[in-house]
Order: sequence, then C-alpha cells, then structure tokens
Amino acid sequence: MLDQNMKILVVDDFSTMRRIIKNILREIGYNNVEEADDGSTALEKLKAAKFDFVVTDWNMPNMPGIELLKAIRQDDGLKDTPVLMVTAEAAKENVVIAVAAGVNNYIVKPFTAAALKERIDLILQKVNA
Amino acid sequence: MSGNWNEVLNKLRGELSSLASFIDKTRQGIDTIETTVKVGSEKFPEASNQLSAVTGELENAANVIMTILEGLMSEQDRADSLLKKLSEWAEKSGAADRESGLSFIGDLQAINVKTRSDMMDIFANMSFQDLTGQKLKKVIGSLAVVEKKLLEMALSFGVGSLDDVPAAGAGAGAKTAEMPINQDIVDRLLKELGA
Repeated sequence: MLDQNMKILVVDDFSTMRRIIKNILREIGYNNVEEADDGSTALEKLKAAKFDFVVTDWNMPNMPGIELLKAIRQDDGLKDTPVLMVTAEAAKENVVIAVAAGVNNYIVKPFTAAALKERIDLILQKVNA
Repeated sequence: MSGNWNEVLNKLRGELSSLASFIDKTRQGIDTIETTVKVGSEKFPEASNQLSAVTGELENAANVIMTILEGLMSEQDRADSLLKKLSEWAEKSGAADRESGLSFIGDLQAINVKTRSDMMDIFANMSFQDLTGQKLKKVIGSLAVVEKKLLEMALSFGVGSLDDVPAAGAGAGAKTAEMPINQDIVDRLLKELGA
C-alpha cells in the first residue's frame, strides 16, 4: 500500500504547519513532498506537474482549501487526485460542505502522526479498490 | 396686562434655563464620548500591534523548536543505525556475556523508539502555533473593525473626512481588504485629534 515515491502536495498558509505535516509524512514513509502556501499557488503547481495526493488546509488567503478542492474536482486532468483536508474547522457544516465538494477525508488539527497515516491509508485503500 | 407679560417672560426664562442646562449636559456627554473615542483610537492600534507581535513571536519560537527537533530526529536516526550495527556485532560475538549485551542493546532500542514517538507527538502539537495564530488573526480583525468605527466617530466630531485619507491596507497589523485603514491613517488622525 505504501508507495514511498508518491508525490504529495501540502497546502497551508502557515509555514510551521507545512513543516509539521512534511515531517510527519516523512516519518510515516512519504519523502516526496512539495509545498504551497495557498490554494491558487497549489492549483498552479498541480497543473504544472503530476501529484498523487493533496493535503490541504481550509482557511487560507486568496483561495481557501474548499475552493481548491472544487477547482480540482472541476478540472478533467486533476479530478481524480485524492484530497485530504487538514483543518481547524471542526464544525459539522464544514465537513458536510467538504464532502459535498468531493473531499476524500477530513482531519481536524491538532492530529497525531498515527491519525494522519490512518486517513492516508484509508484514502489509498478506497482509491485503489 | 403687564402681569401676563411677566408671567410669560418668567416661563420663557425658565424654559430657556432648562434648555441651556440640557445643552450643557449634552455637551459634557459629547466631551466624554470624544475623550473615549480619542483614548480608543490610541489603544486599539496598540492592541493590534501587540497581538501581531505575539503571532510573530509564536511563529519564531515554533520554528526554533522544530529546528531543534529535526536535528534531534536526525541524530536519532544515526543512533538507531548504530544500535542495529551493535546488535549485529553482539550476535556474532562469542563473548560469555553476549546475552546480557544484547539485552542492553534491546533496552536502548526501546528507549530510542519511545523517544522518537514522543518527538513526533511534540512535532504534531506544534500545530498550536497555527491554531492560536488563526484565533489571533480573527481578534486582530475584530479590533480593526472597532478601530475603524472609532475613527469614523472621531471624524464625525469634525476631525476631518475619511475621503481625504488615502485608502490602503488595514490598520495596525490587520490585513483584511475590508478594513482600509493603515498605520499612516491612524497616525494622521491621532495627530488631528491632538494625541
């Protein structure tokens, strides 16, 4: 299940959060990680190169995570990219909105390395089924 | 006839006196509001600046801690690799106390695993910086709204017009487009208010 070469894009406006997620991903075996500091930068990167997985925050300037998710799902070249939302927005309506927009899974900050791994494994399991 | 006039004049004098007293009280009230607005205009930008500074300090501290953690984790990878080599060496050695040597190495490896797990927990919990930062950002935004209202009130007291003030970013550290007040505007208004 674990593909160490899987290319992951981490999207968060807080550099510390990107660093945390990057280190946790490295710890659980994923070393091919790139970063973007908002949705629009992420979308540019996703269109410019092939990514296998996106981990995105919700609250970001310019283009929030939910808009990035919608843009990914509307783009024929990107629509199948798995998206995990990592956010402080724990309200029920946010989860409902994210699911309706096509999120693959949703994790609330703060989270553990084990929780992140579990969500990624779950997504990959479903995608590869 | 003159009695009636005197009565009317006395009544009018009384009414004018009450009106003067009312105007005086209102004026005193306005003076108080004006002072409050003036104090608020001084304090809100300061509060916003302080909160922005807290956000920055939290971020710096989080980055310093994470740099140390990354260094420790790298050293730990090295320690793990050395323990594996030591374990292989002990397996091959024919020393009489080989078993106890292997047991010590096993204990060290367990400590290493536990420390690694704790370090990852510290790493994950560094997200407090993001979470508190987001909340502080909202507070700074709210302060900017109140600050803007206070400045509008200050202008209504005849300080000047917001239209005369060049639109720019938000005031005192807040960076939202809907609060077109920056430090220059605040400084100018404070000057106009005589602060």
